[in-house]
Amino acid sequence: MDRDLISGLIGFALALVYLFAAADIPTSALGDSVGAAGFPHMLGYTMAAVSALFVAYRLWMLRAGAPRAVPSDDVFAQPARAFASAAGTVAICALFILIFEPLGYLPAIALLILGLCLYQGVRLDLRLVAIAVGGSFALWLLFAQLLAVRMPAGIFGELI
Amino acid sequence: MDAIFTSFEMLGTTLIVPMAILGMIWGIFGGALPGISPSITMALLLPFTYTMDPISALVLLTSTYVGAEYGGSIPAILIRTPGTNASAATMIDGYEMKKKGKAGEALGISLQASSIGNFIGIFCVILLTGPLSQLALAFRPTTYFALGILGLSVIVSVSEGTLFKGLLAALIGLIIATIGTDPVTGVGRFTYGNADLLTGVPIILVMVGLFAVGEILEQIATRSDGSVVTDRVTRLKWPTWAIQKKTAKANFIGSAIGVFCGIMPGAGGTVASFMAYAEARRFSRTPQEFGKGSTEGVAAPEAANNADAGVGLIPLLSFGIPASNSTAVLLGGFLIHGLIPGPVLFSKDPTLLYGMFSGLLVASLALIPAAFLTLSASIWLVNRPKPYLMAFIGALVFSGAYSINNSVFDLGLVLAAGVLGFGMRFFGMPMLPTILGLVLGYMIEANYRRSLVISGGDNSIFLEDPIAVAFLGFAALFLVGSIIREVRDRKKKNRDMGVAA
Amino acid sequence: MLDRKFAARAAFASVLTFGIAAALPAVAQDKIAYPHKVVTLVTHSSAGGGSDVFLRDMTGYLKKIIDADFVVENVSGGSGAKAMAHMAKQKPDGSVFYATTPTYIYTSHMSDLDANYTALEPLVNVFYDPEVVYTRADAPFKTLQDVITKAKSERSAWGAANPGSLERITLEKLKKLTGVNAAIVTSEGGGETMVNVLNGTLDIAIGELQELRSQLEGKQVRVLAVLGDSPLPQLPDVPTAKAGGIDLVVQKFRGLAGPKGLPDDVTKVWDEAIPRLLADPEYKAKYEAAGLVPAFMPHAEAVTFTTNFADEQKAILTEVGITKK
Repeated sequence: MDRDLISGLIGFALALVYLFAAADIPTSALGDSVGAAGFPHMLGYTMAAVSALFVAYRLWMLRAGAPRAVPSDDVFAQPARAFASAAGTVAICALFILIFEPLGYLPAIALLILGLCLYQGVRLDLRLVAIAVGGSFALWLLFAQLLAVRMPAGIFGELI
Repeated sequence: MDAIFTSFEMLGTTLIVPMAILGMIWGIFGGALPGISPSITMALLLPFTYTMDPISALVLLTSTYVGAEYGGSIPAILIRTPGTNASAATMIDGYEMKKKGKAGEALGISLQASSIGNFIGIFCVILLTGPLSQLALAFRPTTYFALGILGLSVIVSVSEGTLFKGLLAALIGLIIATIGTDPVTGVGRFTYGNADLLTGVPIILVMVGLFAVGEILEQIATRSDGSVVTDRVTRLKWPTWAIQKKTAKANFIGSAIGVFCGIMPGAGGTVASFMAYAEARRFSRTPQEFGKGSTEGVAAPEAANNADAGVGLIPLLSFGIPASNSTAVLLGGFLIHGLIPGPVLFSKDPTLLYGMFSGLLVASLALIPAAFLTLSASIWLVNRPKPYLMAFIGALVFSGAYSINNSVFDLGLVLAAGVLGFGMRFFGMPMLPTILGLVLGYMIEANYRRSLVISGGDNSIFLEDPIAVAFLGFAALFLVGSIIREVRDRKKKNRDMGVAA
Repeated sequence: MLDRKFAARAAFASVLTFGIAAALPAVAQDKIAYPHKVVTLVTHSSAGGGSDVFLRDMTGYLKKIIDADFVVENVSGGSGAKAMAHMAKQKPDGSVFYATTPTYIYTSHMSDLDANYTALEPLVNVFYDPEVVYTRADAPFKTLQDVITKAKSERSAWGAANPGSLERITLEKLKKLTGVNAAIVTSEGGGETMVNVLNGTLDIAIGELQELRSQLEGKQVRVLAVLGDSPLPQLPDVPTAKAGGIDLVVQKFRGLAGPKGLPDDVTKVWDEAIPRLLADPEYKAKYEAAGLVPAFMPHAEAVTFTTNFADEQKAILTEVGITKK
């Protein structure tokens, strides 16, 4: 299927979801003539209209024999594989976010670096572990010590 | 003119020079870290300024402010992660140049443009604080609404020939901007009882997610195609004479727009840099290079956001009104020493003002050696093998995102924005309109509705504000012009394709 | 002059509660013993913001009175919602407090939060931030009544900093009390409101006295009325709104609160310490210059005051129709 067509359809679906959610915006007696929900409604309808027009335009172009929309330097030659791979990366990051506070900054960041490297096919050896641990320590020095950001201590507790 | 001479005299007698250099390096460093905003970088110094004498403290803070604006462009060019909001526009062509192995040149151009922007900005502050401050007062809600629309009109020209997708992308940004507390009634919109969403989605988180996390996802997902970044440049390159000549116009346009936006409290460097990018393209002799690694595309936004930062001091110095988060921290720096910035302070104690000015001038010169010192290391770092690089960018981005609000929820937001960015890349949607929508959405909505509150719902209030009318007129002109060009280009392209087929 | 400057600077050195612990020489009075060595004071304002500066200033003097170190922690975001959520998770043992302003009550009322003001127990109140009504210096209005008169005959626009704030509701109340229909224009923070007052877009605006210091010094604005019970020492010539026949009194408080269930030995220390803090002549000079009015309330009083304040605001919010219930 045509990629532009799909993006138009997704845009339309998103507009509907947004309009649906915007229906819940509470009204206020202090409201102005536009109201808290006014702008979101306008955006939702505009998005629905633009998406619909886009879909219609693409269909019309395709019927007129225009080539399918594929960027010339397409890096997504194999969409299914690209999506599966990205899903894996997202899963690693999501896992990292889950363990970030319970485990603490140092171990969580080290595991993130380790995980992302392994996922990209770097061989697991002492060197990689050293890079992950050293890297997380360097970032910790940067953010927690130098910039005084309150990073979660986690399992190291009062130690740091 | 007196002001300038007094400023120079003070250089030898106080700690201005070391403080300016120190502030500069600290600023570059803070600005370069995604998530650490210029205002945070400055706020971190506040406790240390308690014990300093006022001039040293103010010079330290203001040069940090200047340095941070430049620092934001480093990760934007090198790893496609804007360090500050305003550097998102620099990223477009800066990263394209990096992909072509011209990272050193890109950094050099951005450095030169920043320096020029700084200088022009600061000279405007020194010479024009009086007259310009009157202009700053002319801005009403109606004017800000019109300015927002003018900013949005750039969308067509940054949509890269895909008008529908550009519009959809802009709408996504505008929609994200409606999350949070309603600007007029104060009710929560799309917040669902979540404390993190009450003040809206931080723009920097969306940008970092869209660009950096999106890039990580794409790079890892497309690892098989062997498009490894080949960049063997290991140091910063000062732009050659030919490049300097080519970017001169862009530098000028950028600085002028930066000065213009800087006077308005609340318009901000992001609006300035995007407008500068669009205008530099409009007046360029080679507009087709924009988006593909144009040197002018790097220079214009950098000059703009640095000029904006300098001129942004005018509302603070002349009225005591902070125009941005960074100048609010600077105001804190004044108050700590019992000084209240405003016309009275500077007529009472002009040495303070001149001290600050000379500090800023030193800072904009110190920018160049400071950048040379710090940049070679950064360039070396981003030339590490791709898997490690991607993993470390991930770690850096999440660390930076967490440091804004100390919130795990924000990490989720960044990841979600990354997924959105990946999707937009897949569908070939331009991301700049999204950023523009995000930056301008709140400004447009809030000021439109405030204007109507003032007028009692009467739209003619916009016609009563001459500046607003001028802005809206320009916006309409740009929009029509861009659409005509877009249609003409498309027809030509179709014809060419017909010939080729 | 030079000596005073130096003294002020030395005082600032003592504000440095982290980093360099500037050891102060032992002062005449004994320090009050405290069950914790380090006390964390949480604020929802970011570094350099209103409550942050207030806390950092205060801790320097507090150290001389209470035998503990004070650390300021910024939990910004969500207009205090995040700070409240953070506080609700802390132990009520006196080791951590939150710097309160009406903002946290308002945020609780305006949004449906998991942890709202009821999760906290007020400790003491320290100051009032006097709220004033001001206009530009060359405006035709001489009194608040002039503005009301104008608003009765034509459209008048009034400014307040944030959409859901004490200031905004105060203006709504003013409309109700005087029966006029003025437009109330809000903005983020005070900067834009001030610009719009100066350029005449807004007839009047409401703000804290300390936000106006620069403009007052520069004679760019004129204060029309003080929204308190009595005129301010900083502005002896400006009448209260009450004196002008409009019964409008705002109590923008600044105090401390802890997680629910504070032990008696902790609250007693603070009940004793705050009056001593407010009497410190060096500190007094500073907070008066900053436009703050001392308003000490001991623990018991602070609790009932806050509860009453919250209920009262809730009633107003419901009455003007901002919140549903």
